[in-house]
Order: sequence, then C-alpha cells, then structure tokens
Amino acid sequence: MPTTLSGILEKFALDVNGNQQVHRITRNWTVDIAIECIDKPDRYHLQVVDGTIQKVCDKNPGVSLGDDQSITLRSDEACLSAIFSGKRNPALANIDGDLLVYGDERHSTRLDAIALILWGFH
Amino acid sequence: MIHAAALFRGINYTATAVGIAVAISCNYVLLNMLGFNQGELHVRSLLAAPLEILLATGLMIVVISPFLELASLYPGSPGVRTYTKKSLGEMPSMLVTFSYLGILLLIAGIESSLLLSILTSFIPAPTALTLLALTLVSVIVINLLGIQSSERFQRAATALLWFGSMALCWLAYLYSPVQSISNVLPVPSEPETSSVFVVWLQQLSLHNVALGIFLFIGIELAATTVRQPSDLHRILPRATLAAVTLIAVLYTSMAFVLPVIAQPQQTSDNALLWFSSALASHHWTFIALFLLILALLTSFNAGLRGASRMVYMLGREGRLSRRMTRLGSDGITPVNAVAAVGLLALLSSLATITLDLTRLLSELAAAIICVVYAALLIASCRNIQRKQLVPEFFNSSVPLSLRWLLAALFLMLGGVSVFQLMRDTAGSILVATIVIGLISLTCFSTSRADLQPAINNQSN
Repeated sequence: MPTTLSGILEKFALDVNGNQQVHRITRNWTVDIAIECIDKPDRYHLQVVDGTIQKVCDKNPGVSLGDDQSITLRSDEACLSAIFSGKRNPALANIDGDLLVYGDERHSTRLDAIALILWGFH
Repeated sequence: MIHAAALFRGINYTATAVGIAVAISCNYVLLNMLGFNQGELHVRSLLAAPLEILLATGLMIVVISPFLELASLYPGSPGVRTYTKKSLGEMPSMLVTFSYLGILLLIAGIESSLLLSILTSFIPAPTALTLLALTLVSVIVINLLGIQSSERFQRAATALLWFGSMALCWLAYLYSPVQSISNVLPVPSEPETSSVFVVWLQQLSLHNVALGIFLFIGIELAATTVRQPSDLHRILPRATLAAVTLIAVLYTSMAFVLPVIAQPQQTSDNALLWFSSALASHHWTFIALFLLILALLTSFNAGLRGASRMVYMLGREGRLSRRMTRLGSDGITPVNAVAAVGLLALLSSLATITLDLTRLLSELAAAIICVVYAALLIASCRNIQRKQLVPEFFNSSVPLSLRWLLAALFLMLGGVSVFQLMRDTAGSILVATIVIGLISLTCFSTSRADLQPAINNQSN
C-alpha cells in the first residue's frame, strides 16, 4: 500500500481504470482533476480522457480543457491521501469543510460515485 | 477585462440566483404587500410597498456578502448544512437544513396552487389540473435526465421570464387606459395634519419587510455552485449583486405600476394577469399565462435541483436513507433524491390546493427564510477562525457587530411574521404543525446518524 500522495493517486488511477463498473459511469467523461495540498506546495493533476485516467502528473498537463472540464480539490495532504485511498468518505469530508471543491457539480458527483463504487461508502 | 468563459459562468450564477425568486408566489406576495386580499385591493400609501422592497433590497445587499464569505470558506459544499454544522452544532444545523428544505417544498405547493387557481379561470378545472400535473412532472423528468439539460433550461427560462415580466409591467403602465388609483379602495388614512412622509412611515410594516425578503428567495443558491477559485473574488460577488438588482428592479417596478393600473373588477391574485388585463387584449393574457407557466417551471426546477442535491448529501452523511444516494446510469444524477423531492413537492402541491393554504404558507415561508438567514449570519460570525485554513476566500467587509445586529433583525422579522400568522386559528395550527414536524425530523435524523455512523474505514 503506497504511503505518499503521489503513490496513492497512481494506485487510484489503476483501480479506476481496471474497474468495469466505474467505466459504465465514466464513459465520455473528460476532465482535468487538479489536486492541491494546502499544507505543502504539492499539486497533482489527474488527466481523465473518455473515462480513463491517462496521466498522473505533478505539474500542469499543458493541455487546457476549459473551465467546464476541470475541477480542483484542495485539502491537507493527510485528508487527500485518506480520500484517494478509500479511508475517508469524500462527501463527508466536503460537508465537514475539510475538502474544498471548485468546479462543476457534475464532476464532483461523478468522483463521489467512483468512491461509492470502489469503496462502497453509504 | 472579463474573459468570455468567465462572463458565461457569471450569467450562470445570476440565473441560478434569480431562478426561484422570479416566481408566481413572489407575484402573489407582492400583491399582499400592496394590500390585495380576498379579491380586493386596499392600496396602501403609493410608495409604501416600493419602499419596503427597497428596504429588503438594502438588507439583502448587506447580508449577501457574509453568505458569499461562507460559500468561499466551504466551496463545493451543499450550502446551509455545511455552513451551520460546525458553527451552530449538530441539532440546530439539521433544524436549519430541514427548514430550508421545507421552504423549497412549501414554494412548490404555493406555486402549484396559484397556477391552478389562475388556469381554472380560463379553462375547465380537470384540464387545468392535468396541465399543472404535466408541468410539474416534466420538470422532474428533465432533472432525472441529467443536470446539464436542466442548467441550460434554467438560463434561458429565467432570462425570458425576467424580460417578459418587465415588458408586460411597463407596457401596462404606458398603455393602460386607467392610470388612476381613484377606483381602488383606500386604506383608512391618518388625520390630514400628518405629512405625507409620516403617513408612509406609519404604513411601513416589519411583516411586509419580511415578505420583501421572501421576494429574494433562493439568491444564496448561486454561492454553492462556484466553478473556479478566482470567481469568489470578482465574478460571483458581481453576479449575485446583479441578481439582487434584477429582482429589486422587477418587483419595485411592479409595486410602482400595479396601483396605477389597478381596476376594481380585478380579482386575480397574480400581478402579470393584472398587467395583461390592463392592456385589454387577449393575446397579452396568453403571453402572461405562458410566463406564469414558465415561472412555475424555473422556480420548481431551481428548487428541485437545490433540494435534491441537499437530500443526496444528507444521504451520504447518513442523516437520511442511503437509498437517497443512488445515482442514475450517467453517474451524476441523484435519481432517488430527485424522485423523492419531486414526490414531496407534488404532495405539498396537493395539500396546498386541497386545504387552500396559499396565503398562510407564503407568509410562513417568508418567516422561515428570515430565520434561516439569521442562522446563516450567526454562522458567518462564528466561522471567522476558519479563514486561517482556507487559502483563498472572499473576505466580506461587513463587520462582526453588524452581522450580529442583522441576525437579530432577521430573527425579529421572522418572529413578527409568525405572530402575524398566528392571529387566526388556522395559522396557529399550521405553525404548530410545521414546528413539531421540523423538530421530529431533526431528532429522527440525528438519532439515525448516531445509530448508523458513516463508514469511514472501509476498503476493498
């Protein structure tokens, strides 16, 4: 089990790409997910093209997808690590004010749906 | 210079903010503010209602800034629930959340009842009822089909509705053959010695200011839809201010024009129909009817979107049944939450129509929204320390002391409205029922979450 946020995101990408049930709801979904730590200068990008996470990088991917196709998640590293490793309910983290989400509601709900499928939070 | 995409996002925020406010129920509330009751218009001092609307506008302009600050401290959250959770505590937060959800359901009932009453004066009752049911069900279906389609619809319909209502209002003013308030029953006036200004002041009422606040209902919803962190500083505040201005201009215009074009035989309880009848041509009536159906669609749509998202998040939190978290095949539409809220809205409509509760419910909704705004203001005071945790937030310039003062004022407005409502038995029973219902629901959801804490440590 990876311990760094970067490693956790790599594993998350593998889990998402390898899950058929996730693919059913992410078909035609193209988005740039920016993940920013507020307690460190670390910033990561998950580049999703047609439902597949193609790249996990720690710098701007260079390709701009436009405002409607990007979402930014901000929190401290521990919270982000817990969310992307399935240890914390992302919706609850958002309600508690620990996870800041900037972006179209469609993208945040879809990310929440992925968490539901992968880890079965209610 | 504002980028085109940013401008587009700004229009979206404005459309969301105006969505519920440009509604049939607000037209009705406006007529009540003017003194229309039970088929008669007792015009109060000509400028009393516009002045009350301007007072409400002033209050909204001040309080919207702390609301935006809250939204910036909790971006992407489901609004009221998150804003109040840590600052007010679990039980009060759930009570405020359910009150807010309750308002959205009450509005659905009020809107439906008013539209039905309007339609039945033109077409047979069974046809009117079918048309109303079809309208409501079509909005539920649009939302079940996906959020994106509902957003586009919201933008277009809100714009059409605002421009259409303004056009009807000023056309009626320009071309009305009446243009006199002499035919309208006057309110018993003060002794001749009182100056006009004193008479206006005496006719201003706190209850009517609360009704004026109701005209801006739903304006806070825009703050929950922030797309970009940078929007918090320029685009969202401007878009929300634009929304407040649009609503204020519309209703102040109406409040100014209505007494001028009023005719004694006018008994309809909708302002747009007054304008169309003043224009004395059938096609204006059809345009007014079209706008009214559109008004029901936009307010019902905006309310359904806001409420279903809240219900979905409450389901995710474990406060409501986990069935509420079921998403559609697109992975983004909370189908069960939309269906549940839609069903409750239909039931609310049925109850309002059957029991003839339109006036009481509209006054109750005005009282509740004032209390909810008071709770949000208190939350904004108690969230100051959170600013250290959020790197990018909108800093409201409203000082803490003024926020507390405003919270007290909004509580007073809510209280005055409740006392006004409880003057008759039906109002007292309604208030008691709603209060008991809200407290029971809060206790139930709190105990439910205690029994079934959210599973936070599951993995594959």
